[in-house]
Amino acid sequence: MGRSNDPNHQRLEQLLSDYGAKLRALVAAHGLARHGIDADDVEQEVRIRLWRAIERDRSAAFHASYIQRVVASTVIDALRRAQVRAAEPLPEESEDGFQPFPDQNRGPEERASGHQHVEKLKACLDALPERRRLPISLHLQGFALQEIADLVGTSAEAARKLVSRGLDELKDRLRGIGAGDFDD
Amino acid sequence: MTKPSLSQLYQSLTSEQTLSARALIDVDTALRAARGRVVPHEREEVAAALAGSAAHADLVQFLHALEPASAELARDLAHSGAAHERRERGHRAAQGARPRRWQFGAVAAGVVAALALFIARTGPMTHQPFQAQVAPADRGDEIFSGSLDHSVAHQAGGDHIFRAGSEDGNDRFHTPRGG
Repeated sequence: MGRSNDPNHQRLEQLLSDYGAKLRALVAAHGLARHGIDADDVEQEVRIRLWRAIERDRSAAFHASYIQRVVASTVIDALRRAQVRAAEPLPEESEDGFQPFPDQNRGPEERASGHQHVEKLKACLDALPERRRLPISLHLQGFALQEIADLVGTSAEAARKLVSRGLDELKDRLRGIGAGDFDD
Repeated sequence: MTKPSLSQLYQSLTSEQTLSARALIDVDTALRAARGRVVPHEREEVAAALAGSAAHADLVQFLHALEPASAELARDLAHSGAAHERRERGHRAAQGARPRRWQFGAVAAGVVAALALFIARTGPMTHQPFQAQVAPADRGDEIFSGSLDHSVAHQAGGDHIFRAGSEDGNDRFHTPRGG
């Protein structure tokens, strides 16, 4: 009987395929593509690594932590490769390479304005008190309040207050230097 | 007119700081951060790395979001592995039964062959002890009678020697039949 007809083989194929689809969707949803990560490549690599591990010992227990480790190591490898690629000089700048936060639709003026905003934001963040800067930075990176609390080592309520007050202060400072109003 | 997003601006600011050669986030740290279980002594470093690098932050958030799917896959694989083990055991048992039947037949044939050989060899030997009992008896009788005669003659000589020595004092040891 061929392996493709083996019901166990087919079942494993299906499981890994389903997982791969979720993985691919999450890679895209979390913006890993902007760091030069190809969701299809990551999915394929993870499936290969998991498949090999399962083939080595079909009776072994594969904990969620092991699967997460396989994924984390695959993504970190991909990020490092992307970083190496980004460091290599390109014949035509940004022609074929990835661009973080692509802004092809923006003209030179808008780009310059964006760059100024970034510089002002950096200056205002640096001016914030230390204890507020980190929670706000994590918030701006997209972490939820509970995640910020876990990372900073405080309660969710304390994290909420730090973020809320810090954001108000940051916006005030930005307005104060004439950068205008901002959304979170 | 929509206001610019602080988050987008900040992530743009930190997107260039990807995984440097001095990357603080390795696989274990990323997994711990994704589970919200950062070790206290590394908390400050990890939080700063995540705050300062959009790639780190995206990786950790991605891993956090992936946890339920990984847990589900682990459960499915465990179930599939157990089913596979059961199938393998059944398969091994089915494969093992055939050789055992064959081995049993071979052992039975061997026992029958050994019995036949034993009977074939032990058949003639049942007469041998009978012959052996008879022959030594005949021969024994003959030998015994011969030796008895010889013994008698010898004894006669002996007696004679003894008598000769005791009667006339001559040394007649070497002439047993001389008298």
